[in-house]
Amino acid sequence: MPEAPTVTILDGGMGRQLSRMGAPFRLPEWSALALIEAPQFVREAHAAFIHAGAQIITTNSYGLAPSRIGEGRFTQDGRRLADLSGRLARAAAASAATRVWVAGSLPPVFESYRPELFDVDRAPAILDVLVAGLAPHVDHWLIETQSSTAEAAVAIAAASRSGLPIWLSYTLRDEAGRLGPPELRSGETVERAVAFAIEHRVQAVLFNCSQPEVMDAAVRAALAVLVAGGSLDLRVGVYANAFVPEPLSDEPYAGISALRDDLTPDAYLEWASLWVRSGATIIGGCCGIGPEHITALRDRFR
Amino acid sequence: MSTQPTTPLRQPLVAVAQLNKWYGTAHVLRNVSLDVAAHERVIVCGPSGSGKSTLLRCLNGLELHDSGRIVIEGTELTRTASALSVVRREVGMVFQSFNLFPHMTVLENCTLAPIRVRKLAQGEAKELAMTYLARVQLSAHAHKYPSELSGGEQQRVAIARALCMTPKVMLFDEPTSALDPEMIKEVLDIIIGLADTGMTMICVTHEMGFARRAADRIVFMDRGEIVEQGTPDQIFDSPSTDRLKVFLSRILHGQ
Repeated sequence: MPEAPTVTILDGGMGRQLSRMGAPFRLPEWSALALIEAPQFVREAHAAFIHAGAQIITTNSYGLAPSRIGEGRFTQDGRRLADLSGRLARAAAASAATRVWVAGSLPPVFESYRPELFDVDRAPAILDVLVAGLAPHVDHWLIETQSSTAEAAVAIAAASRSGLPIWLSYTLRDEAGRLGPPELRSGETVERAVAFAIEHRVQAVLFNCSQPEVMDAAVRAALAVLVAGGSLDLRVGVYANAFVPEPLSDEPYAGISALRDDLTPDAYLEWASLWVRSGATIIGGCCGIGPEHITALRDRFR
Repeated sequence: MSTQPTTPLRQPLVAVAQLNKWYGTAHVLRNVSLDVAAHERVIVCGPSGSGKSTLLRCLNGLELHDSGRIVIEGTELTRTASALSVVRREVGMVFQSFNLFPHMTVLENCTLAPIRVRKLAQGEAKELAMTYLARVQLSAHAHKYPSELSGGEQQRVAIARALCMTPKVMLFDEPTSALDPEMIKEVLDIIIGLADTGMTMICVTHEMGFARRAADRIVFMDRGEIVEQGTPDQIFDSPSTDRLKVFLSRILHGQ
């Protein structure tokens, strides 16, 4: 049998973990609410993922956008909250028994999953606030849940000024019953999106916040682009969510998505093993994937 | 050059032994063994679903085998990062889809990985790229973008780009299947030209005329196993198995 692969383990979904721990949690603030009202929960959630086996934890800065915490609060407090999310993650990492890295989350700064709502003119100022607040505390960036390369380009430009390594993660179309080639939510092909990542010199390209079912095809497509282009130093990763599949829709994101009950830690591990076999070397979880899933990943891959 | 199909003259560059792979319960590679000598040109053919592309993808770790061994120039291919990077450096691959970087010129497409991965200086990488762009007869297009090129030209750029990593062996996975008919020949001619320079290559294709011209050896796969292999004359003129005879009659007579 071939030897075991080298896999780096990320953490799981922060928002649902905060909710499970009893932290204040509701729309529109989502995971930012705990940061604002009860930051000790954020620290504890990081600790839970580290205890579970995460080698990299991600700052709880996904909710830090004007659309989620309000224009006024973002203007007044955005940088302080970004700084706080970086400090909390760094403190949790520093008190771990093993080396834990901190990834600075740069979220979609308008709506998740809605590439058509991306505003190229307004995005840089929002991202600059997050980068300024987080940069002193993080080891690298994790530009997450990107629906289009246009959106990613602006985030990469903002993150580049820090000089820290950049990991870029795309979210994929995953409507119920989906067949066909892997695509970003913008409709761009994964091949195109990975070529973009190579061009922009990111260090890892990942796929997140989509159903596990669509991830393997994306990993395979990504590896093919990397191999064809000779860019063999770029890593590929996956952190899927546990949302119940929904029909494709142009409607805005209406509430808090239901979580499916079939993604047990063992079931998620089977998916993760598939991605690793296809060439992914960074594995974690997104919304609804908790510490127990991360432990299953650790036990298999480390 | 030609080598006896089953007894390569020297240590094989690519050694595949007793390879097995399953997708769930489907046994997609069955005890596949294949040695390829340096400078040998091997063409793999067979019906769709025969495992030929899967075999090719196993050779540079794009697919992981379940049992058996793959050794490329003395390095066994395992899933460890170090083995993968060693093997992938030695193995160039060209796919059906060209996967060029759309916002980079042809020249930038060719120099990106040598600069980034092989750590060549800009000038050195550019010189290398121009050498290989000349070999695929696209020197004049070096400063164009992929969208300004035909499909055949884009595939030729993809070949030049792979060569810029100076691989020891080139894998071609149906390199002309995504092309319009009038562009197939220009790409096959480039591959034949490359073969004439002594490049070791393994090519999966349905282009039987090309196979006859270019191959030292043809490997016929069906249902996950190597059924028959031999020189083009042996394969085309005196196939010994019914499965190969059926395949040839279908593909040569378009049935």
